Amino acid sequence: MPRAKRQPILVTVVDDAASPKCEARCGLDFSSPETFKSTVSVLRKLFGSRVKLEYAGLDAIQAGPLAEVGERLKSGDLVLPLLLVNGKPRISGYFDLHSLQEVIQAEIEMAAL
Amino acid sequence: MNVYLGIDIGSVTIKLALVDEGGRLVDSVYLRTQGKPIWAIQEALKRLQIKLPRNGAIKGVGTTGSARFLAAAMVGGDVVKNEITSQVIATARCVPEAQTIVEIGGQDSKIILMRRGVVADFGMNTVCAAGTGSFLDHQAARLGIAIEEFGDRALRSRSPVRIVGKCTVFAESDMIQKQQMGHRTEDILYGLCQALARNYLSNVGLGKEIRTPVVFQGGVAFNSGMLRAFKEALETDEVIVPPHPEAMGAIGAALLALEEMRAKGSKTAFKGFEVSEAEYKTTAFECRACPNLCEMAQISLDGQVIARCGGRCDMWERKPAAQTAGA
Repeated sequence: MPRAKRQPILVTVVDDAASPKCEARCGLDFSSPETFKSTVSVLRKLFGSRVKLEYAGLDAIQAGPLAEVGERLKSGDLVLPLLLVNGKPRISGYFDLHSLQEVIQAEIEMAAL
Repeated sequence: MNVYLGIDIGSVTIKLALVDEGGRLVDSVYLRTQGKPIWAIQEALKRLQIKLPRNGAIKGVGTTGSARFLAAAMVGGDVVKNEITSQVIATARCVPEAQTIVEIGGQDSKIILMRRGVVADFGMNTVCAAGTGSFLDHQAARLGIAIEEFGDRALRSRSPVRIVGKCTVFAESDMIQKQQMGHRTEDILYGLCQALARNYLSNVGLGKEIRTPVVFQGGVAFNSGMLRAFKEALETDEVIVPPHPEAMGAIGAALLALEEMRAKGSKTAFKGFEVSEAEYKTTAFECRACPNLCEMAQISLDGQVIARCGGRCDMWERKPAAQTAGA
């Protein structure tokens, strides 16, 4: 029997491009298309097709599978930018490339435990 | 006596742990890297060799931490795992009833929620959190206090000051102002502990369902002021610091090596303690894989490239034999 095709790990960055950014400019700004594109490229080199990166604006998550995340953002339970892996919040706030890849690697290893 | 070595090497410290066939901790080494990971690995190995039990033989090596690939390449690693995995394995063994793991290291923090022995959720810190060991080290140095005294002095606080600011820069500004206002050092130290606990819970812990018992680990867990601050912030006494809080990552890596070697039944890749005397050569090159243009360090031994490190991502760490011209 053929082995079932493994679903890629879905990494979603939720942010609001219109909101003011921190003056210190730490972390990745995914509202910038260049940043998103270069991060996609790096993740592909690191993880191949096992990981898929997507960007979601605040409006896009008000309905659908991430609606609960949207509610938690509104209530202040989570803050932007928000990093989700397979729909689960992993980093709530500014993050960098190193943190992003560590979270993904942890997700891969947790699945194997 | 067969033993298994775990190496946890981060940006600030390196920890080595030896476990026996039963998974029990035999001994450990803790050392600051001082920004020199190659030296730190070699020096830590030298110190561990002195502690190796009579007739002790290393049968497996596991590495973890931000420089885990470098350690594996230098020492001969059998298993290389992320810190979260290593922390979970160690805690499940040392504190099996744990529901929440609070881990604060030199430069990052993590939270792991365990339910019925399985990881249910986890999270990591943001880049702006004034909530890691390095921040405490830096403030202790600025106040002229040895980090080892920090916790005991903080516990002597009578009226802790409130220190605001999630960002390291803003928190330090606030501390300086409090000093200028003449507050007691003990009150500032404990205020800092409270701020760190608060920042952790509003950053790493944001949105997480924290249940007791909480296991507090990482080098910062040695700080008795931090332990009290977490108990207050969480409103519970059920915050446990395991016997070797700083070495939990290394213990986990050693346990993973034990498991791996049992499953594989093959010989370890460990290169021996002679590694501590090897003469490594470091050169540099620029990675052109993305606009970051990271300057990478290339480590060679006897003319062979054995590892690359230093970038913002792990791309070169994972494939050291690749060509240097672009990627």
